[in-house]
Amino acid sequence: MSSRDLQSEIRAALLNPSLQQAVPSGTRAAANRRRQAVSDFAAYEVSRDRARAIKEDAIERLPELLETLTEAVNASGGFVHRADDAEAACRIIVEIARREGLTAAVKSKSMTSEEIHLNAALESAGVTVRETDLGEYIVQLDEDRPSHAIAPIIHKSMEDVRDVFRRRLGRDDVPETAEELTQLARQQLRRDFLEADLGITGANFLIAESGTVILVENEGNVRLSTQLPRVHVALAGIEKILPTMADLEPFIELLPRSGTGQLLTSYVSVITGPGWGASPLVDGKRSFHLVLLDNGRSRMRDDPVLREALYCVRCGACMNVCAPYQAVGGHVFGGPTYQSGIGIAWEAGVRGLETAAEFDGLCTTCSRCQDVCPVRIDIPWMTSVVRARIREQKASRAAPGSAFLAEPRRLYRLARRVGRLSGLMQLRVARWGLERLFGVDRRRPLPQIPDTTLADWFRARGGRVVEEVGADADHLDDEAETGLVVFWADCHSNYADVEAAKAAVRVIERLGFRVLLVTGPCCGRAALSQGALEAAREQAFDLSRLLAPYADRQIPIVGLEPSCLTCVTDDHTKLSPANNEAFLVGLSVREIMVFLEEHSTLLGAALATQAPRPRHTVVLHGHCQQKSAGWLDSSLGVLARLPGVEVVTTTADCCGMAGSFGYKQEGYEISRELGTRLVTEISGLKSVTGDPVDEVLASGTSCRTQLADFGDRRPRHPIELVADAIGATAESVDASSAATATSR
Amino acid sequence: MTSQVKANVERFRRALDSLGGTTRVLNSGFALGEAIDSIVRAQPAPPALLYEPFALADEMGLYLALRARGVDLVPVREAGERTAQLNVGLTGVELAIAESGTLLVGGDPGGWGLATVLPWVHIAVLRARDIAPDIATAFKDFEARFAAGQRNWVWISGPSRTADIVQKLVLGIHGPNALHAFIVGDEAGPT
Repeated sequence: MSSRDLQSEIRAALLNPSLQQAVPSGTRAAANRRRQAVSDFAAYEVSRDRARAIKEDAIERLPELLETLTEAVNASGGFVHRADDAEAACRIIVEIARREGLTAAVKSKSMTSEEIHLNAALESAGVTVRETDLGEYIVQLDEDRPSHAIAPIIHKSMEDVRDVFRRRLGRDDVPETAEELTQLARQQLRRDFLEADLGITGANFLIAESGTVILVENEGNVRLSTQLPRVHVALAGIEKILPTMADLEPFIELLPRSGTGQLLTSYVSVITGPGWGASPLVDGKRSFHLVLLDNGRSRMRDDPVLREALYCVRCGACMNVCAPYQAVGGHVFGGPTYQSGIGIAWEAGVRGLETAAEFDGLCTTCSRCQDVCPVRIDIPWMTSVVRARIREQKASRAAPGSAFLAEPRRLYRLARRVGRLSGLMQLRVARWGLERLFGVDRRRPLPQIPDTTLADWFRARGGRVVEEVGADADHLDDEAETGLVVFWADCHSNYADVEAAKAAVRVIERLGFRVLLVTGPCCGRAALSQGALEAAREQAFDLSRLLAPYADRQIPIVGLEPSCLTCVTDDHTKLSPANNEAFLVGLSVREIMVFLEEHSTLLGAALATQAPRPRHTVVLHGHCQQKSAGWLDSSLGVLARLPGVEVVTTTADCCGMAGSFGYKQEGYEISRELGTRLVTEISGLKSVTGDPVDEVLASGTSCRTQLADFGDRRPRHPIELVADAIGATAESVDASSAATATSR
Repeated sequence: MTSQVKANVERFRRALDSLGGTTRVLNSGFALGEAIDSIVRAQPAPPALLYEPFALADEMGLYLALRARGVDLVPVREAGERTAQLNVGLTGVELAIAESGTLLVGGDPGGWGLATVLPWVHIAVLRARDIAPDIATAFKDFEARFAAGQRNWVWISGPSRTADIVQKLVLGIHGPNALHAFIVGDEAGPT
């Protein structure tokens, strides 16, 4: 099976000081530049939709477009070669070199060439290959591997780079600054450019209609590689195709913004045939060869799930916002060629499940990547499906832990049953057992489970609790639907984070609604993230059936936990596309703070009756899926209305807990690193007026657990602060609620 | 200049400046020759330019002005071994984009591309009215010319740049370290 020892790799990366310095700052800077660039782009969402639609169409019509492209390249005087696999592509390019008598190649950055190990093939055929992208040049000198789609040496510090120059160029006088190092590389590489007879590039896009190669870059090495040598070979995956030049527009707008935060890169080369450049340094006729690589892409196209990976434009935006990537970099969270979440799908597609299985465990399916993807690729879904296939393949040896962690409800019930023995669970032997049997890392504190569930509490104060399908019809018929709100208690709210859920119920009631509590089946999120698709599908089916009668009557369904809510709004229909109930429920479900924002008049009225409050500075840490769903703004908007409350937010993409990720042995150390970084960030935050932070708020159960485990504050859910602000606290509401609660 | 053209010029200048390029608006071949001459003479080598002929330079008498100042003009096609030795390249521009400070250089097929990328300094001369306000507008114009048969282009936005080493921005990695755009208003030369 796996030839990699991921645990050791993770540990080494976490202990590598230059990586720990370079990767977090590099990814954060790039992510910030992207955020600024897209917020300045008014047509961003329209452009994304267009780009997505063009890719879908192009991949659908791929065989036909490849024919068109081939004819067009031939008509422009170039040659097209089709390669079924890596070996064939290498053979073709070596053969071109042999036939044209080429001995020295300059090459610009191309992940596709790394996928097929082209350099080794050419070198063994006697053709020298010089990588000319600055980062790739340093990688080549160091016999290292690139660790990021567009920033190949993001993992190297200044000292690392100087060391490479010192060792590999045999220089004692290596300059100190990036400027001087860059000039040194320019001089070295300029010589290679002028001597080369073969220029090798990838292709960002191929225009079928005209046979044109589009290359996007900043350094100018692509331009020199395509214009100086006698022969230009472009190696491109077949998925790079676009039907017409008009189709390029959204990609030209999106790729630079998403990748580097630029409006346009320094150079966009539009190359049709061999006429480009016509360097006076070249004797004789120039030639152009386009090598089209399949290597598993046609199989990916036929695969309903992996097909989406073919839309990737390799901007790298997903890696920059990926928390596990930020913690360990792309060598660890990546396969031989492709990194991070998108890399799981690509390695599964071009190499196979075994390769994907070597690192798929590092994706937490948090969805931050999908949110920033210019073509909206559903990376978390692809990861879940690849994970499910991996499970299937090694079914006999599946870790019981993944099944155990796939259903929080069972977990919580078990924890309650042994609750009285909780002292026992802290014993070393018990933690050892948990780790061995279920993969729960012994260093992670176990959650404290209160004795009373939310349902117990709600029932005790006279409310109606629906836990089973079929129990609904009668009571709905004899009850006025107006003013009724369903509070759906996810497993975490019902069993673990009961106080936050109580506050939510009280706030909804305080605004004048009657509350009906629905709880029961898991939403399927945990199962989904473990790749247990069948279990997730069953859970989704049960929950949809339970909630559908309310959705059908357009009764709002309000919940707390963003990861469970997004599972209902997004994933249920993906699990069962034909499940109409799931679709209907998805439309009716609201996160509590979104619900409050929708009823801001009622909230305003409730706030108006309250006495002024002292200044209170809070940090709000956004939950991954809450941010991706666009719900965080509602929390900010509601909190901003609370008198005296000043809100600052964190920049961390993810707290690092991500459901069960931080409990698992595989994830614990990365989780601890990310949690510690987040706690450090929060400790440095102040309000805009310089006030110290009074309280930390987070909407996710995971986030609150994580912050409590690695910091010294116990965060609350934002709804608890709202409850304080409108006086919907235990004493004031529970007494009166019994009178107004739905009668049985 | 119409107010729209003026607005485009201003926006273009801001955008290219922020990318590390420089811009000037000049209206006579004489003034242009003087400005380019001083850029050429700031280089260590004897005053010489690698250039690709373009109509606007002819119309403005730019070549005459430069020769009169003793600048050696070397067309790319005849440059031979000197191609890679000249420090300054001079080209025209088909289109430009105000929003992004971009120059669109196109041609079929020829040596024009090298003068924009091989030398340490690239000087581009463009007409104010060839500046489109934004990428979307420019793209339509570009697409029309592409469809009409002009199949090779480069879009240039600022000097060559890299941030590979510790994410620090450095200009002049493989292409020019400096990009000077001279914008010619409508009143200069025939239209």
